[in-house]
Amino acid sequence: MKPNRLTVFARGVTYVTLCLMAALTLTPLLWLLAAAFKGQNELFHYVFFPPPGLLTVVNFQELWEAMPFGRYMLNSVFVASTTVVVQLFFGSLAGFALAKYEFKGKRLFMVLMLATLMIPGQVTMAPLYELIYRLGLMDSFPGLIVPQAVSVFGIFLFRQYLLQVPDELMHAARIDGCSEFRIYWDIMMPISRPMVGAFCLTSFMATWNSFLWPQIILHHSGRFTLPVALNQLVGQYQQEYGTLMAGTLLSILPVLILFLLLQREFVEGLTAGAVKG
Amino acid sequence: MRSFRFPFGAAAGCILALAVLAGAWLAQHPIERQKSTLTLWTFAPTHYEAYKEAVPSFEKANPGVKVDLQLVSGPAVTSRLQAAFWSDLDVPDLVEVPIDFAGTFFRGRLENVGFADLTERIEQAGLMQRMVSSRFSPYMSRGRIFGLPHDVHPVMMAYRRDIFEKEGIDADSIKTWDDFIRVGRKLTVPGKRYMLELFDTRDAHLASCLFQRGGGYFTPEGECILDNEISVQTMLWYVPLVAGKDKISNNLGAGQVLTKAVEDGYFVCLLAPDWRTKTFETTIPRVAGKMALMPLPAVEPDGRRTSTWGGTMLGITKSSPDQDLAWKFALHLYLDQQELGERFRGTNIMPALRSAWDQPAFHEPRPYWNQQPIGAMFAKLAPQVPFQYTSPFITTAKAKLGEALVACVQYYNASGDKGFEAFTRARLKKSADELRTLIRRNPY
Repeated sequence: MKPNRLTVFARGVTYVTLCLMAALTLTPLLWLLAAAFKGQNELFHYVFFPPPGLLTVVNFQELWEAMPFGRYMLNSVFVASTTVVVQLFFGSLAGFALAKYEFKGKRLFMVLMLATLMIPGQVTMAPLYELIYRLGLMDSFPGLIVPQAVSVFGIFLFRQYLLQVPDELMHAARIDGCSEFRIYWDIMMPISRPMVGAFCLTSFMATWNSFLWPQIILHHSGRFTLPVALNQLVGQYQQEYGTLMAGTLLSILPVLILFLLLQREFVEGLTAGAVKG
Repeated sequence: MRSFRFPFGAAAGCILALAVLAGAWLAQHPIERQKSTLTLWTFAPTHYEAYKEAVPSFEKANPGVKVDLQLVSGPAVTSRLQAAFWSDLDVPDLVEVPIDFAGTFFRGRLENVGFADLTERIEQAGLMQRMVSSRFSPYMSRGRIFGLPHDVHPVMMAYRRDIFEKEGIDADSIKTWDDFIRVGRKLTVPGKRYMLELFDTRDAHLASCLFQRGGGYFTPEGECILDNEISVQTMLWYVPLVAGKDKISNNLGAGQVLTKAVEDGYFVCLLAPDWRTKTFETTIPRVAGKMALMPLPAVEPDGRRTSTWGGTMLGITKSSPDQDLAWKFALHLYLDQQELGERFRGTNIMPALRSAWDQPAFHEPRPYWNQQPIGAMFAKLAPQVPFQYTSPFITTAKAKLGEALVACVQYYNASGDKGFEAFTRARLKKSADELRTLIRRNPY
C-alpha cells in the first residue's frame, strides 16, 4: 500500500526532529573534538574548528608528556573490567537464587537489599573508608573493586529477567542429573545473554566514569584511574583546557569502541521481553 | 569430552579478556611502594610542580627524610581530608586547603580540630610581621591560627587599554568607584558593551566589594555579619551596577564566552586578583598588549585601592608524628624567596612573604599587560589587603549571600529603586538569620 501524504509528512517531521535532537546531543562532543585539536591561541577564539592550517595535535603531545596516560588507561581498563566481571558473577548468581528458590526471609531480604539503594553513597563513605583501611586495601585496586563487587541493581535486574524463565527448564535439567550450579551456569546464563550484554555495558560505563571513590582511595599517582588522572589537569584558578579535552577524548574512546562492538547485545538486553528456549 | 563454553556471551567474554590482559600488563609493571617520612597533599598542579622542585633540597638537608607529594584535586582534598580526620586514619602530615573550605575544618572544640595550632610557631618565627598579617585571618578560629597563607591575592582592575585610549579616558584619573561608574555610564552600550564584568548570581565579586569596605561574612569571633550596615550599603550599591536599565555590568560566565567577550570589547574592565591575570594571559592571548591593570577604585577618596579574592592555606595535621619536621618543611616551601620568585613567574600569584617581593621576577615588565611590572604593582597593594574571617559555616554563608544577591537583583529588575532598600535589609536579615539558626545548633 502506498503511504498517504499525511504519513510521509509525519515521518518527515519525525526525522527532522530526531536530527535536531541528535545535533543538540552531539554538539558538546563536537566541541570536545574541536577543542582537542586546537592550540591555546585558538582554543576559545573559534567556537568549533579553526581553519585547517591551525589544527594541531600539540594537546596530545602535551598530554603524553604531562602524564603516563597509557598506564592510567590500563588502570581504568583493569578496574572497570574486573569490577564488571565480579559484579556480573555475584549479581547473576544472587538474582538466580532470588528468582528461582524459595527460602525463609526471602521477601525481607529483597526489601532490605532494595532499601540499600535509597541510602546515599556519601552517608556510607566514612565507615566504608575505615573498613577499607582496616582491610589494608587503601591505595590499591581491590580497594576500588571490593566495595563494588555486589551490585544491588544487578541482582534486581537478573532476578526480574530470570523470573520469566519457566521453572520447567530447571525441572528437566534436574531430571537429567544437572547440579544446581550447572543449571545456573549452563542453562540460566546462556538464556540471560541479552541482559548480560546490557548489564556489562552499563556497569562498565559506571565504573569507568567513577570519580569520587577512586579519588579518595587512590594516593599513588601510578594507580590513578583516568577520571582521577584527568582531574589533576584542573587547576585551582586555571585549567589546561586543550590537554584536558585531548585526554577526555581519548578516555571516551574505549567505551565507544566497546559499545560499537557490543551494541547488538546491548540493544537486545534493553528490549528483552521474551524468553529464549 | 564436553568442551568448555563461556556462558555469559560475547560482551562478558570481551570484558573478561580485557581484565586479564590489563591485569597481566599491570602485574608485569608493578609500582614501587615508597616509605615516606612526610606526606603533603596539594590540590593545585602549579603548586605540585613547584614543590617537586623544592623537595630534593629539603631531603638533602635532612638525611633520612623522604617526602611524599600527592596531587589531590580541590574537591577531593576536602572530602578525603574530612574522611581521614573523622576516621583518624591515613591523615597526611601537611595539606593545602582552598580558602573557601578552610573554615569547615575548624568545627567543634579546639582540641578536636584536625589541624595543629600553629599560633606559637608563627609568633616565634615572626611570621606575622614577615608575611601579610591580614592573610592569617581566614585561617584562624577562636584566636588560634591553623594555617600558613600561601598567597595574598590582591585585586586590581584589568581593563582594555586600547578602548580606554580610543575613548580618551585616562585610567589614572579613576580614583574612586564614583569616578569609575561615571566613566562606565559613558562607555556602556546596553547589549553591546559593558564597563565591567560582575557576577549577578554568585557571591564572589560582591564578597570582594564587601571586603574592600571592611565587611565580610563573619566577625573574628565567628558571628554572622551578613546583615550589618556595611553589607546592606554594599548590596544597595552593587545591585544597580548589575541590574536595572542603567546597569553598567553584565555576567556571561567563564570559558569561551568570556574570552570572546573580552576579545570583542564586550567587557571593558574585569576584576583581576593576581591569579586571574594568569588566567587572562592563557585563555585570552589575542588581547596581549591591549590589556593593562590599575588599582581597584576606592570606596572614598584616599581609601583602600584593593580587595581580595581566593586563597590557600598550608596546615599541619595533629596526627603528624613529627610536627617539628613538618613545620620545617612548611617553612622551606613558603619562605624560599628565590623559589617564590620563580613561582610568581609561572603563576602571577603573590606570596605572602613580603621580602620575596624584592626578587627580580616581581619587577619584570609584562608584555601582555603593556609592559607593566605587575608584580611590583600587586606588591604595592598587598599590604592593604583587607582582613576576612571564616567559620565552619563559611560555605553556607557564601551560599546565603549568593541567594540574597539573586533575590535583590530580581527585585531591582522588577521594581527598581522603589522599596529597594527595605527589601535589601529584609532579605539580608533573612539570609543572616537562617545562618545564625544553623550556627546556634553548634554549641562550640
